[in-house]
Amino acid sequence: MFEGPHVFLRAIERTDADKLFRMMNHPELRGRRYLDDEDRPLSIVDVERYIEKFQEAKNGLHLTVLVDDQPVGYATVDYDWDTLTPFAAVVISPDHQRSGYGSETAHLLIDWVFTQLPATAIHSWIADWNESALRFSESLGFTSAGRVRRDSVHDGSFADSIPVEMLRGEWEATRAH
Amino acid sequence: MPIEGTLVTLREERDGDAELLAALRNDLDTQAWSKTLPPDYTVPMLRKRYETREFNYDPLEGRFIVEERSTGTAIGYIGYNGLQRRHSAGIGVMLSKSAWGKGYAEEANELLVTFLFVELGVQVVHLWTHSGNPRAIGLAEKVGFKVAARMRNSIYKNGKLLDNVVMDQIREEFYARHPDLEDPLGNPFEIG
Repeated sequence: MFEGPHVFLRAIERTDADKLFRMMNHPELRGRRYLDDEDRPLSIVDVERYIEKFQEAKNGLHLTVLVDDQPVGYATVDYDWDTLTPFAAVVISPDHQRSGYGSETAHLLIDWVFTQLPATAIHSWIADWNESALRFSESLGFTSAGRVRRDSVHDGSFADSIPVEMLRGEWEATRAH
Repeated sequence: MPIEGTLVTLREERDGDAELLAALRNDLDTQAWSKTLPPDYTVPMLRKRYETREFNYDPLEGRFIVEERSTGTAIGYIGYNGLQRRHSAGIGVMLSKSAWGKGYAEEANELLVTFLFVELGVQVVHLWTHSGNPRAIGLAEKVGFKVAARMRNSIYKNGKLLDNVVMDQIREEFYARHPDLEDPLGNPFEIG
């Protein structure tokens, strides 16, 4: 179901804990790991708790991104109580970035949302300092929905968040190309 | 000591408030979000919620009943949630329709926003509404909020596809509206 030319996405497993522990604590992922707790060093127990929480979550997907059977990232679709506008996030380990895995993963998630859910739009939130993620979202066809001020703290100041969105019609237009 | 304004008072929830809260939840005009549908909330549900609330030194939400000062009548609910200490909180309000148009919601919002900035020392207050509720957007603008983001086609309500509207107000904006108040806290990252 979730297979691209290079990546394979499967449900997150307890056995991913060691790999995710290293990934989630990677200094380059500070503030962009898309967990409730963005800045604190995570213990292996914290990571196991996240995995448990992801496994219990009913309204969405929590997937491990595999390349050659090795975890290189994780991905989320979360629609909470309303399937109209699911939230999506993709996190690729800094050691494996710039290989197209993030883009491939994002396309698989977006296609799943619009083909399997009665969704009108898909959205995500990106910290305003995270320029590579903003460019990435644009390349996928997302557009900015505004700017929510002082939504987080990063590197000695408050940071704004940029909610980004793609409507179903916009997704269809990208597919037509 | 409740939070007192000129027209309304914000006080803690009490035993007899369940009827009002159930009625606000069951009114499609006052509950605002389709999340809470259907309008079948019962008084025992609301009473149980009230009775099972435990003492907590570290609450991340505040729940208040809005009372009309002139009569002492409970007319609505206002609260904040998702508090990140010294950083942010979100607010929400529901008033009985009979209390609309009298400036009560505006004052209740102002009292709560003042509490959040002046007592809890947050940097930003958020609220979420939708494009089908221009009254709520106008009210929020009156008490200093600005539209921060608008997510298209995100809300379905009353047969209409609406935009999800996020509004925010930062600390400097609050104090600029209240030149009588001093802000020794400011933005802690910018203290030289």
